[in-house]
Amino acid sequence: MNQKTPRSGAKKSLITRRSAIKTIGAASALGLAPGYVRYAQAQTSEPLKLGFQLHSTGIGAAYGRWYDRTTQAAVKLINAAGGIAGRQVEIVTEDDGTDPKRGAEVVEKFASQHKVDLVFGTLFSHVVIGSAPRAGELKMPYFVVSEGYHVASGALNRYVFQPGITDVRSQVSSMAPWIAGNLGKKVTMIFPDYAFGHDHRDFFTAAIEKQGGSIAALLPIPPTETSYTKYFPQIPAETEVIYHVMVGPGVLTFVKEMGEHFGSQRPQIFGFIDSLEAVDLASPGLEFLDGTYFWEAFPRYAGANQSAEDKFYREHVGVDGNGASTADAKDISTFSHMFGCWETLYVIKQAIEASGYQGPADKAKLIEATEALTSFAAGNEHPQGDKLFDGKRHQCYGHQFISKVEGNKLNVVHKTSIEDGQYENDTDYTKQSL
Amino acid sequence: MIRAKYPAVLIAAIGLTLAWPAMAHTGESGLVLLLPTGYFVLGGASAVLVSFALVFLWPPAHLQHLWSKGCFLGTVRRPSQTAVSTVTFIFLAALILAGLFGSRDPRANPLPVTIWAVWWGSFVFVQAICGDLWHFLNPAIAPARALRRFIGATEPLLAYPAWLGCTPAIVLFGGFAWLELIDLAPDDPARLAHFVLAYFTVAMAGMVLFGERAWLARGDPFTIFLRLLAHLSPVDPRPIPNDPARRQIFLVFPGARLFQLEALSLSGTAFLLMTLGSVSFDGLSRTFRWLEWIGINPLEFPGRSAVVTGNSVGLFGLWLAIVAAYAASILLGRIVSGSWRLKDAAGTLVISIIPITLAYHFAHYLTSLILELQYVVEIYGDPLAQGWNPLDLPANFVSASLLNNYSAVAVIWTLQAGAVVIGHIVAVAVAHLLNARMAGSGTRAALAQVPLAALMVLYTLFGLWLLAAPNIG
Repeated sequence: MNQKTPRSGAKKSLITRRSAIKTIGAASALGLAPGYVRYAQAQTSEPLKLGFQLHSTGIGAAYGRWYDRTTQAAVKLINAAGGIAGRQVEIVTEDDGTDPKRGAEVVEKFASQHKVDLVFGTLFSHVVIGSAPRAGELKMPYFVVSEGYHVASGALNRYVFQPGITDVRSQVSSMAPWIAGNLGKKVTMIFPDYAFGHDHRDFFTAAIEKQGGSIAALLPIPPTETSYTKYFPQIPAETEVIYHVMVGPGVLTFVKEMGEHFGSQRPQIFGFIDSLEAVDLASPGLEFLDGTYFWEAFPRYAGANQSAEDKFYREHVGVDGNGASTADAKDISTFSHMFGCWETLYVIKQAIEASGYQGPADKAKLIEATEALTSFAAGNEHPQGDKLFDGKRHQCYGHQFISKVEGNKLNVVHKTSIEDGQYENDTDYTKQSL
Repeated sequence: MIRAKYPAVLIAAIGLTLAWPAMAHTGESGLVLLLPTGYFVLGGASAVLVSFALVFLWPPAHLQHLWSKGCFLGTVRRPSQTAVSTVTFIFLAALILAGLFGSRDPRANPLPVTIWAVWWGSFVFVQAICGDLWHFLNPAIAPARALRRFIGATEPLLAYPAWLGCTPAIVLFGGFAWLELIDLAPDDPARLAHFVLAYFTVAMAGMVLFGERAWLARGDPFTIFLRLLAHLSPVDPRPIPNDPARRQIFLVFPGARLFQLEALSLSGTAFLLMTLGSVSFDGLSRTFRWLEWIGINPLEFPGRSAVVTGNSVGLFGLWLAIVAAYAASILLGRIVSGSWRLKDAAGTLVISIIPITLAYHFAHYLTSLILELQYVVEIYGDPLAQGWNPLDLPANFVSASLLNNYSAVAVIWTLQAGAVVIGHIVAVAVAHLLNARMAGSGTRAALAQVPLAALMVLYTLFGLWLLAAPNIG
């Protein structure tokens, strides 16, 4: 229970002098506390205004709730440690309704009404794609937390960065070496038949073939399908691994019917946690997942070998060792995504402090300083792990995790190298004018 | 320079990466798909059918007698309408100021949750349970009276045109439903504050121009709707001769007061059906089936901006379809009875739709209220987003666990489906009595209600299907 300090969900993130003094101890835990002198200087500076484009409502609200909590927790720590470049951070939250058109309007509001220093936090790809062009036109630094490949693909513009979460191409590609080496080389892919599933199909097919594996069958499922029994007989007998990425309300039915189809005799099964993000693994129908494997960006269950930074991160966001809210053990967080907000804020801090940014006139300096970043060390600022940053692609690269379902929990069995998620492309945003 | 580059690269990007992260995450709707809802849908519709058969055989006089029983609870003094309205007006003014100048986040600003969750989502039930509290709480009454006094307009400036009927209420409620269901940002605090101000201005103008009584009875959609719902309440305040300041309070069977209502006008009938249509369409618009019809992949819902046209057509189209189906049932009833006057029959029997409207309101808003009312607790403790926590709420207080837990979802779904079935059963019984009042007894008169009962059974099927169908949540 948190008697005096604001809840992590509180929206006023510019903490008061009194509460800052109280929490200075927490700040020193980060190893960043610059001391009271620097903090005192902060009182004479205007706060940095960061626009937080949040999916408060709409289809992304379940993610948005946790993006907000993670952001508020990180900002509280940053402010307690003296802020960014000696300036306190003020978060201005605007809801985009998880809509691309509204997203562009919100970016406009950030620039013209709120006059923020930068915007961050956009999650859903279609909203990023709808909003990023406006950010570019307004020359507004735009830090997304989306995991889409749209940034690294070169499709956006110089003002858009994704430094706090890896992209889907990297995530999918990095799974192939371990799958080929440990589960099997003949893979049947079951995926929803639209862009999301096609990304998996294309990225993973290329990656598994590079490992000497092959695709036994591709089973695209129409998005409106809600019963899957007719598809399972199409899985070839020689299949060693089933790779599934079903999403939406049909996921539980899919897993249940797959279990009923195979019984105890089944190939190895590998999935992406996106299918079950914020879903309790103890949900009915998911028993069949026991002994199967999942990709995770950040392991939901702390496990026996929990790192100090993982513990620190969970404590401050209010998440327990099972990835659930500390206020309600059945309220499961979006653990594999929301760390991106926390880490992005610390990248923003690093970039602003490196650039000597003073105000909107220095935005070009901020863009160039962000592009000059090369790596982020694991620690309380980057609890998910160390990362490399590609300044030309505006995208970070990091470790991924493969976890096995055992007793309704996910236990990490493999951590990929950063190199496993590397790929070639010729994106170079630095060639665009500022 | 940058603008010129977008089209080609964006087309490439949209083709590649539209749907990250996995958009339609599984949750309550995924758990509902695991429930044996098919049995409930058929069972529920059968229950309405059987109840109709039973009611049909039940002599109306007996039913009427049962329903007219009341239990005297006591006498109360009526509060001053102006005084209560002044308080709610001040509260609303504070909310509008919060909307204009408070937090930009609808999950931290008191205006959106108050309008959508507290008032529209929840107060409707308070009204249906406790009776016509809105009569006192309406925040426009006190300032309108003050304005009339100020300009010296003790009498209405204009006579309300009879031909207008409830058309202003239909137009205003249509706009309200459009704002809630189709507008891009109905939760945006400042935007919502402007909408509330606009409505308030219209309400004030209506009351000053046409008089409080005329405008509230025919022009103001919320007063009309809430007054109708108040007639479901078991609380029956009865006037005391020569003592207008006090009321005798009787406890009656819920719905008994519906028989106190006079027949609605045709426009009033259309208005009431619009309230049912809008809540039904909100459910329909989230189903996979609807999204498929308008060419949207339900697994990558592209946002409200992509469905403005389709959903606008759907919202008003469903209303018109309900009006048409209702009119057809009345016409058929007229043919069977041989004695109904069409206008009277339409305006009388539509009263039986009121319990259905309330049931749909409950079934539809229950899941969203589970989350929203938690935000209300959080926000009311910290209305200025200063980090206050007077209730000592834990961090991450708002929890979605009830919507992600199989047993809880089973209970919630049963409550929703049960409400729909009970609403229709009550409606069938009410229609039976209204028909008897209108057409008397006799075989033809009794049979005349069959088309409307058949429509109610079909609508039960539709309502339960809405709850069971795959949807985007």
